[in-house]
Amino acid sequence: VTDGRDWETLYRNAVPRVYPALLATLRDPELAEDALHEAFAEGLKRPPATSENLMGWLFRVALRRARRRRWTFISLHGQERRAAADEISALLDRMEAGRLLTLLTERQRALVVAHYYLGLTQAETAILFGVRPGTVSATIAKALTRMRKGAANA
Amino acid sequence: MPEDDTIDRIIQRDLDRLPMLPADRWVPRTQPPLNWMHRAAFVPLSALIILVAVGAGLGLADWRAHRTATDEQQAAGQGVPGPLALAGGAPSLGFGLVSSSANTLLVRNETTPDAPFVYTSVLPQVAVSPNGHEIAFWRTATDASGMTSYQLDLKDILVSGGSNGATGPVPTGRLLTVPDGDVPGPIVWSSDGTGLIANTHTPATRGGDATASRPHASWFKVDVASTKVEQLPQAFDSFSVIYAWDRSRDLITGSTTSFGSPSLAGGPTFLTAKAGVFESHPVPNGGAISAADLYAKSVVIAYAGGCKGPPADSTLRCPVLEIRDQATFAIITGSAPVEATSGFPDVVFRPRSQDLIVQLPLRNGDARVELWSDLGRGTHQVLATYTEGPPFTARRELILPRVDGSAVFLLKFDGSAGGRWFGEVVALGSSNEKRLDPKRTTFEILSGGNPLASVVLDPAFARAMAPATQSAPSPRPAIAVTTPTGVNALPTTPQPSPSGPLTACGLVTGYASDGARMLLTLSTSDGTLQFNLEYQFASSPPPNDIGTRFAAKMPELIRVVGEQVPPDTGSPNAIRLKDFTVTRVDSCGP
Repeated sequence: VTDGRDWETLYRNAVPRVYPALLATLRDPELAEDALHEAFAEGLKRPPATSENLMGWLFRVALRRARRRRWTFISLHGQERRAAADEISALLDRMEAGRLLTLLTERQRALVVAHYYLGLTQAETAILFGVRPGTVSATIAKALTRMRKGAANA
Repeated sequence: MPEDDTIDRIIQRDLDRLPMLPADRWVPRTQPPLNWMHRAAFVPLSALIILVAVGAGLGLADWRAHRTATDEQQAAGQGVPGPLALAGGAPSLGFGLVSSSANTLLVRNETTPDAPFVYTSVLPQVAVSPNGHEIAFWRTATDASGMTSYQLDLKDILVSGGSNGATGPVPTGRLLTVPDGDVPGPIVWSSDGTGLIANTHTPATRGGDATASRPHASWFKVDVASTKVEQLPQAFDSFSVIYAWDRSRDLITGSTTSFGSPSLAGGPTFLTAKAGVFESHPVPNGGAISAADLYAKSVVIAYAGGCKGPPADSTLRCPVLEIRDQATFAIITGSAPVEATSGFPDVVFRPRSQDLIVQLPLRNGDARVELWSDLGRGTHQVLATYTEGPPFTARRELILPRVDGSAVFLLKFDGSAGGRWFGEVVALGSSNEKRLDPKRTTFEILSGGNPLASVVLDPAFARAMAPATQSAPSPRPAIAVTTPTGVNALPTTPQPSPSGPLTACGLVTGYASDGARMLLTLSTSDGTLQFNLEYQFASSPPPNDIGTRFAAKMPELIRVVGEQVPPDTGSPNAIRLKDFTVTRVDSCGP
């Protein structure tokens, strides 16, 4: 990625995949949008060295930004924001994937979505999230167990 | 029970059905941190900021005021051409004011009410090039079907003449058409005068319709020579204002306005784009951007709270001006706390320089205008004091520097007199402080409409000002036009030969004198000639009533004979003579 224009092009190509991943993980459309914007700005400032795995890079940076921000604020438009989040949650709850992902912690959701939706290998996921491959493997396995259990109970 | 591949399929299928973010919101419309601020209040953080501000704000401002930057950061003067003194503290035929009146731009010289150049169907804003004679503005145009659009237009007032369709070396006509649904915004010249950046944006809406698509701004850069237009990347949409475009450094600076309460948002954010890399720098709490030069060198931040303790009167402020580097936002220098004032100072950069013109609203209702040389690190010279309140208001456009940096217009609008601007022209660099009484000043700015900007009208002066980045010649002593008259002819001095005998005779169409020399303009059979005549080189005393007769509009023929010598740097195309005689004649015949 050489300049801002390259970055914006790459970013736009990645958004259609990364935004749903963020939505499913964060379950808050405004938070997802803001996190995406922050990741975009981060990329303008310090573009990733390579365009490989850009979706994963965006996903990871956006999640990190969302986590950093979320606990510090209360919304100025609280009702609107809650309504939007409730709407997405309701939609996700009507979906099988949404119901299963609800059973997971946010961290588990992030790894499952990165692996199963963004198509990252466990090794790539480990590099992006800065953990050992074994940790990714174990977390996903644990998540799957929980999802299977939830599906069985349903 | 879902297996791995089943989970894969379920997740792929369901997540693809989630609602997609509208494409116009993929990229932030505002700088992301502010976007967050806009929607969210940092309750714990803001409480902390308030506590810290109360506890340590004043000391922090004081600390800022005394911090200095590295030598590299202080090298802010490079590339700034330096002020000239082509005219002094009196109206000059060689300079003009662009004013707007009823969708019309008027370009008039400083001394007469006539407007040699009139541009119709334009918006009331203008951007003057660093060389002082190219103006860019927005014009409305209607096509055959009756559709109206906004177009960016460019004129060189030294060659384009007064008509709307006239042409010259500078491209005229449509440089850019505003996209449908958008309205024109600010126009900024590049620091070398070779390019423009112009803004278009969606009109501001009232009522805060949350369902409406977000307002956006687009920025376009125009190469003047080729008229090539290029839209800046969408990341520029977060710029509300662009201060400077330095093409040699590929640097664009600007800021975004703050959203919501300033106490939460922390004021505006200063933005830079250098070689496609964007950086944002929040203006520290309590600060406001006051001024920025067009060379992308320095930006002035004004802070409240420079007093050593809280002012006795809560309506007063103790401002501190801090100067930061436009490229890095690093602190270059700060002023010592000034005395308590009733509001923030007004600051403008002296054209072609890093000197500041600072207007301080004083606690007794008076105001004082000072010239701070070298970003405030040099001398602070009082230019003028207003003796009656309310003084000239804090509206910035009322402090209008002449484009060569020789003087500043201190203007006030008098609505009771049917609408007129009046005030004073104060020389910059002169040691004479003026005490101004707005009620008694007799000088009226004869621009008509509302003055917007200063321009150069004398080609000789214009040549002295170009190129924009030349090293500064030593400021020349000012020549004051002593005879404001209705004469409107502008000298179009041809290139004089560097030496040899010269005889010229013609009608006086311009006259100025500073006691040491005269600037005499004659309309001759060979065209209009301008002479720069130093009295010390006169063979015999010239008539001492040329200016008086000129002021009285009495036609007078003058013959000039002398030995031509190379021109001086201040008026490179005015004819300079030694051993000259100036005589009044009845006719210019042989």
